[in-house]
Amino acid sequence: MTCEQWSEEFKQWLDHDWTNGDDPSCPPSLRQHGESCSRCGPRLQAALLLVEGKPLNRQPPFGLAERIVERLASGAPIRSKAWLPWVGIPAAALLLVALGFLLVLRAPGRSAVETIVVRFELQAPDAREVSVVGNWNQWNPETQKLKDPDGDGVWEIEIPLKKGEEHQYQFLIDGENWIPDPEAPLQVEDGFGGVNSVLQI
Amino acid sequence: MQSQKHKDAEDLWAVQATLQGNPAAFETIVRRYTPVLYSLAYRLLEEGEEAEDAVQDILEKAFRNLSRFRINKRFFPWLYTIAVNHLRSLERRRRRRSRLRIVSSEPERILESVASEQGNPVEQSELREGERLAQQALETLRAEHREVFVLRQIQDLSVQEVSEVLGIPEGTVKTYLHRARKAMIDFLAGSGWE
Repeated sequence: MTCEQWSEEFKQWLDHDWTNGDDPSCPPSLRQHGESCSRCGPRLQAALLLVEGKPLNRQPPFGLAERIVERLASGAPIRSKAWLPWVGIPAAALLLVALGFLLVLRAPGRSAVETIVVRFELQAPDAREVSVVGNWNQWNPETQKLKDPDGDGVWEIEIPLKKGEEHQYQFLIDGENWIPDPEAPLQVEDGFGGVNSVLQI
Repeated sequence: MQSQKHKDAEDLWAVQATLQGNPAAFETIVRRYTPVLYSLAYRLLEEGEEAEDAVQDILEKAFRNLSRFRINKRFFPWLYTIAVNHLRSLERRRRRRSRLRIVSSEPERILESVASEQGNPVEQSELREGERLAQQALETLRAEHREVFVLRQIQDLSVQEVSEVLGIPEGTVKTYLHRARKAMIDFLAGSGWE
């Protein structure tokens, strides 16, 4: 049997309504060619898995149920990612720490205020205007607009934020689309049916 | 093997015991449904490595919202509905992330390296070619067709159960199954392989 002949027979076999309880057994000729042909074999194997269905069920990682039980019992946050220490620190903040932009601003006659410069970058190639709005700028979309100087669709801005505080924010695109940071691990309800991203630095 | 009625009765016992102040009873639910929910998440999410977190979140949501479950109903369709809604939400978020994201290559490298030390549950290299193709075929489907196919064909729910979980008529379930099958035949038996 050639691969072309096999493909035709393969299609005829799959045309049975196997999702309706029919269980068409695979013709021996299809199996014979499929098992000896590196081009047709994987397609046959995939079809057999889909027809039978159940073999495509996948076992969870070892100990997953136990970890969930333990977490629920302890009342702790359920997340158990290996990178748990990073949870709560959105990517923007991490970037800053990585780059080491730690600033200490001192006002005359006042105690030192530690700030960290956070660089926000947003990939939005279709946007005409992007702002970051948060509790640090009283949610004013006019104060901190991102720029895309090289026209690559990545909008950016660097903003000094107080260290040790929780900052909530969203992006505002073209003055009408409010978007929480899709990468932020922490989000809270904004009271208007949406969510704010949370940045803890 | 336990009958479905027996399983339903055990589920209801566990739910009632949890609601009456014995949260440890929920362990029965977690142990029974972790494997099926993991499998569901693995096949419905385009990034299968998110399945583990998804299962944890689904079971936590069920636990926290248990008082909303109507005790005269079967438990597992209620849990599955929570699961499907959660997975849809993850997929919506994932699609948006591809257009909008804070770009920070350095932290991503850190996260990836830590994650890889822990062992990724989905090692693409270990997947057999046939399974990889089967997953590709699933991914060619529209989301609503894939949900129906995975629940009915892979998870072995009845048409009536799929209808209950997804809140769509049984006729629609059958139509979606038919369309899913045709699309996957087109993928596997199409001309692009020659």
